[in-house]
Amino acid sequence: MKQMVIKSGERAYQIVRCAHEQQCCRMITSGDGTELIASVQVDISSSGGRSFCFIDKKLYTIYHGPDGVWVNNFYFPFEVQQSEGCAVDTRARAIAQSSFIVSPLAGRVAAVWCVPGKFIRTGEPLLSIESMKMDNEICADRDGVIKTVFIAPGNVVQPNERLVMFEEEGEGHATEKYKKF
Amino acid sequence: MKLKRSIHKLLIANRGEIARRIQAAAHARDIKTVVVYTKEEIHAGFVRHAHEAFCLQGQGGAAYLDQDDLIDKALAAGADAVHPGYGFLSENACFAQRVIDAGLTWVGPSPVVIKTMGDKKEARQCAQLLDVPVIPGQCFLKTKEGVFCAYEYAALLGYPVMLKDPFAGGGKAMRQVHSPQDFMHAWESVVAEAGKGVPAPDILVEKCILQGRHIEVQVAGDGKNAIHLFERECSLQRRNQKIIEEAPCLFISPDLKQKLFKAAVTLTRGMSYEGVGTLEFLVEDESFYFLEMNTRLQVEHSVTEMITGVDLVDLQLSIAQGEALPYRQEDIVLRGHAIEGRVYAEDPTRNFLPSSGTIIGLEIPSMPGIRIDHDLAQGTVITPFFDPMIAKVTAYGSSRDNTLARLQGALSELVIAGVITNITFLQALLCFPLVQEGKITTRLLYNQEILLQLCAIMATEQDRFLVAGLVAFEQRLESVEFLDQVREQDSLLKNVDQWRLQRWKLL
Repeated sequence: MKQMVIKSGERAYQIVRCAHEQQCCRMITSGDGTELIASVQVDISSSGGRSFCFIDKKLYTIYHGPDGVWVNNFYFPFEVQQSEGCAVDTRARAIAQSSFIVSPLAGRVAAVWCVPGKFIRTGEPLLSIESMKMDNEICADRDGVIKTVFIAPGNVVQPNERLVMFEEEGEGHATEKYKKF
Repeated sequence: MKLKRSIHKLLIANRGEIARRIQAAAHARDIKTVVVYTKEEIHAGFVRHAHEAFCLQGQGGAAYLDQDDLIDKALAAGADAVHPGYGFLSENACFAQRVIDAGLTWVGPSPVVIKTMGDKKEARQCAQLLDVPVIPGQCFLKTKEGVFCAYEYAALLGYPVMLKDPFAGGGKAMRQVHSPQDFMHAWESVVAEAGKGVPAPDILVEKCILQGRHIEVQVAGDGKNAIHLFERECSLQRRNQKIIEEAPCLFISPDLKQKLFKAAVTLTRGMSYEGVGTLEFLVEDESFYFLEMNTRLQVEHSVTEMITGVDLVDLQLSIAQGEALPYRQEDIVLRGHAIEGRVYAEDPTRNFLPSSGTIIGLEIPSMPGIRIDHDLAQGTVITPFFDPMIAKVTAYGSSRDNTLARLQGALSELVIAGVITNITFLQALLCFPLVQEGKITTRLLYNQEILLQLCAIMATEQDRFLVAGLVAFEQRLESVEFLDQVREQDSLLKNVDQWRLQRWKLL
């Protein structure tokens, strides 16, 4: 019996291979292994960089990208769950990332409304990114003081590129305290 | 007697899927095509298929709006005509005039007609003159007194009302107002949004029709005669952008249809229209109102082509060459049903956020009654600089149900991997009961409840695909070991090759 844990976004899935009537089956569970997602018998083949998967007499075409797979027109980011040490590592990275607002899409910065030092409330628009002829407002997901603005109008940004950095919690208060005393 | 001007070399001032479509029609007539492109698009299909291609100076969408550059390229290539496609400069009267002034043929109606129809106020007056009904409404100046009169007028019309900038199109600078309290705010935002283009001196206040269908009539005219090519139902829209279009519309009475056709042909003939065009109407129960005329080819022209068998781009070229309409009204026969779905590069699970990237996998199905217009290939980069529409899937069938099934079939086999698209949303939409029964209005996709239901359909679908993805991912990781073995064998083979090479040298 072989087992593998694959992470997709927030969720982790366990895949167990088992033999059933001389056919190879897969059992997929989620959470702590108690929630059954599917128990399927699959027929799988690959050619020219793609895989074909037959489940329940239905054909799925899979293209393998660098960070996940495309199944027909659905995209799933996948990664193999690493050992404990690495998981802590990603969490540390997540915390470091949390003081940034990153771009959800690729496009050209149309306008920037925020400046360093400004206090911003949740939902307040920070900047606008034009993509495919549409303006997309990027809003603050928290209250806080802007520390750095990494981009200027006219810049082309990629998905997940850092746009704005907030002051770490307490950082702003600290400066205020120093000013007071 | 009109002058005949034959076209030998056509400049296409457009890109992507529509450039390919125009090329197909031009090449069938033995007309050479010249295209323009931005430097990122050098590997695009429309560039490869052109007889000549010129790189534009500008970047992104702005490059295709540079009138000087386009006319320079047309003259440099020795082209004798310009086809604008849709979007970009297709409804720009100034550009049309400059093309004509440069001694080239403009594939489209005259600049005067484009200008008249591009101004909602003038278009309304034109329709009223020819006894075609328009939505009750009036224009008001953007002055203090103007706002005051408009406010009074809105109360007289009764809420909700619609505020529109007369020059804007494509769903821009348009607001629905539900109560007098919101009037001022809406007025200001329409004024602000309109400021981006050429500012109009006034704003149009119209009665808002909530339960309306968007029905449009395809027309063609040669300056003397005019014909219609039946209607299209385009009610399924999101953010005033069409998503699914079909022809014919089975949900309005034959009587009403005849009235629409009559109005459309009257307007087309009344303007001495030269070219193909579309008259948009809003239909509510048994009454109809003229909205606007699009003086160009439309994205959804493919559904009309399916049910009539007429090649509309070929017809455009023939009219541009000064030929008389090759069809009489009775030659245009409607047969079967057609439905088109527009494929946008946007993520339906993230509030339709535009998505870009490189296409890593592409499967274009070929099946009875399916036409897929696109300019995609493996490796095509979808940039954020152009319109998100990347493909159109049009299905043809004997009945509406048959056509819906065929479109579903095509969408389930169409794979565009590497860029997130709305294909899964289209599939969910097509199996939605209200859509299947044809109970569609322009407001359907503004209903949050319906959007949530559609998301639920997509989510259940997604789980099925997730299972396939997980299994394939696991299988591939498993086979990494196997791949290592293959690599080992590869190096052995290389040794064999070396050995062969050496023997070859010895001989």
